[in-house]
Amino acid sequence: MLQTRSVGGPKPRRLPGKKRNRTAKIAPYVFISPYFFIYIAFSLFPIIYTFAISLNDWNGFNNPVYVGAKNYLALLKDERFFGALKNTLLFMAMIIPIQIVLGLVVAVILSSRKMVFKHGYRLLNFLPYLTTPIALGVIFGLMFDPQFGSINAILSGLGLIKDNINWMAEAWPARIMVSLITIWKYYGYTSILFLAGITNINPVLYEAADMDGANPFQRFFSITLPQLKPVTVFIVLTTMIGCFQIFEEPFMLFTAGQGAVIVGGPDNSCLSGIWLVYDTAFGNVMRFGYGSSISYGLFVFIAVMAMIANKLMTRGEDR
Amino acid sequence: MKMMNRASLWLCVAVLCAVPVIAALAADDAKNQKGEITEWVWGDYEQKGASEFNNYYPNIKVNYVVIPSSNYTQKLQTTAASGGDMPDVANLEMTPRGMLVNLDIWERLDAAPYNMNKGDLVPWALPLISNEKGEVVSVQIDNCVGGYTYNRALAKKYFGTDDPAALEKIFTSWDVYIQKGKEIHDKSNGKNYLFGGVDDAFMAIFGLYTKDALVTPDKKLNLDSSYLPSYKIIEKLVKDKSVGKYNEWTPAWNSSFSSDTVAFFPGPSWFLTWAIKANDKKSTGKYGLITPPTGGYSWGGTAYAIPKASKNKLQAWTYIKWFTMSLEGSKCFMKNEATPTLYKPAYATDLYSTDANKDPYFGGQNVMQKLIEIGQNPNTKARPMTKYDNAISDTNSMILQDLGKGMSADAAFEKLKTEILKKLPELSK
Repeated sequence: MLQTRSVGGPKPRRLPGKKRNRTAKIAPYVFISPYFFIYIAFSLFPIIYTFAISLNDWNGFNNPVYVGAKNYLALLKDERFFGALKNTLLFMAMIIPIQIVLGLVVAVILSSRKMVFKHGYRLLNFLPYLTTPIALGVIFGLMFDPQFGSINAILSGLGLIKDNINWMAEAWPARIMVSLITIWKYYGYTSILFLAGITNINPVLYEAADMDGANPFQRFFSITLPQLKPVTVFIVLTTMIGCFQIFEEPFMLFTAGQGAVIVGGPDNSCLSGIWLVYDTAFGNVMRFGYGSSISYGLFVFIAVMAMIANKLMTRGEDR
Repeated sequence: MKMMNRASLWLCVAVLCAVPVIAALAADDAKNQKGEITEWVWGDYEQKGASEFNNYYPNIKVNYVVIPSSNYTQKLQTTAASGGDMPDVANLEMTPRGMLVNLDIWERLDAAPYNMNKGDLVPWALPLISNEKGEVVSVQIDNCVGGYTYNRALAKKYFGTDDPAALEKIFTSWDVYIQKGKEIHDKSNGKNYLFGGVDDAFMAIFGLYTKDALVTPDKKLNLDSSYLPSYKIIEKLVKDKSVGKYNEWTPAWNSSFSSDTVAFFPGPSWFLTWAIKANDKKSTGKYGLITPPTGGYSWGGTAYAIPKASKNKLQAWTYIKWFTMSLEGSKCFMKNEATPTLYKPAYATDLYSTDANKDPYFGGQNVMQKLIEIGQNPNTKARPMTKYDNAISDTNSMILQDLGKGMSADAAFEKLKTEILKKLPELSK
């Protein structure tokens, strides 16, 4: 019989049976508890506290005054809130399709076996995601400058425009500018998610397709795309939520030293939900209570939109 | 009678002996003020001035916490909301000041124990440091009075002279500016402008209309006597193509100073150093400064206030008073920032009028003395502030873009009011 014995050192102490059982039961909870403590402190508590604030009239300096549902009733009549929702839907329509297609194409290229310097390109591809918003504001502010910006110079050089476009002062050019910047910043992140999805596709499927004589397009449309459906659903949902949270890019463009502070951009065309929350709670009206009720209004809208999108994209899967 | 005279004589002797002793004790008392205060700052001026302050008050230690000006109000707000430690001295920049001074969180400075002497400050500046009740709750350090800066070469070319006095005789009203703007455009084939952009023109005009607060006590918008006339002038300038397309604080605007295409710029005191000199470093003798047609205006400024939550209020007041309302503080500010304070007794000295202030950059003109002169013009005034001013001003930034694109003044004015009411539904037209 083979016996194992500890060599040198004290013999490990063993807890009595009952105590050992209790420790074994508690240990998992102890190990996962930090997550819950952090979740409670930084997510659950703020969520509940925000709701409590939304029932008050409070600017942060005075004592809160309980107003019940007054803020929510005002929200239903707030043109800026509905304008922000409209802007968000427009941003979604302008950003999501391009970002997803671009991210997917880049992911497919970067996953190709024939691709050289693959890792270098992957890094380059991801760099825009790491760019700080203040740098984005300054760089793109210069590029889109109506008089001296390189974008107008290129468009003019190509003969696409006669007069310079005032990207900072016209509603639609401003929206296009914000959409382009957002796509540029996040398509790399999207492609990383797609890349992970592609890596997980069983290579046997491609081998079988090769044996059947499938060309690259058939491989892509018949294997890659269907296999990426769960990843695509995840990306669409998170990009949608990301569109609702657009804030830093337009905020930096229209407030960070690139001209006068224009809250919401020209004609409020770039006023997003989160920017409205920020402007209401921390801007020049300082209404914490009303800002909190806007947050909850946005939460409801995002939840409904996400549910609809999820339902549409996963239709027929249960059958 | 003899007894009376003798008593009076002894009284006089006693008083004469006591005065220097009391004065010495008071000075000694000031020197001996002890404590530690914290100020939240965004720039470095206060830190530069601290060493001189400590020459007078060596036992008051000042700690500085640097907070970006763009986040300053939010930092105050979140600190107050979370019950954190407020600073002993808070800096209130002009943009959010109307909103901040009307919060019931500041010490009243024109009452005991501070008893600030309002007569020591330039009278027109009092609305800039007071809340809606008329209580002084802050003291602004910089005299941000403004004239119009002009390009001497363009002035000579289009108006026949670059002498400030001669130009002031020509530009007696805004109608003349409008007419000359058209001339500049026509003579230069649209290459030169009266003002660089709509923003600059607005800032030069708006401060001249200071009669009414922007919101009445019964929460009605009151913009007819300020925004509307300003928009009317801008409408004409845009129509005549007398204003360029430079948007303030953009790189293009920065470069407009050295482009020699713009005849006039706004010219508040800080602007001369931080906008003109900063963006056109190599020029000499290129600019001049004149008084606007109806007196001066005030644009910008930083005021100091003491939060009620401060634990070192008297030391904080000593600090504020030295920086804003003393000759030594004024000298220090002039030396470090080349800007006058609002402290009136300093104007009676040669601090600003001295020939040493004749600036070659401005063709030898003493712009400090000129600013003081503009500030003493009886028509130079400041508008009473309301807590809504910042929100109204933000909305105006958007409307100015429309005016620049050719929107009529009336349409722009209506849009301004509509947009403001969307943001501030508690107000009415």
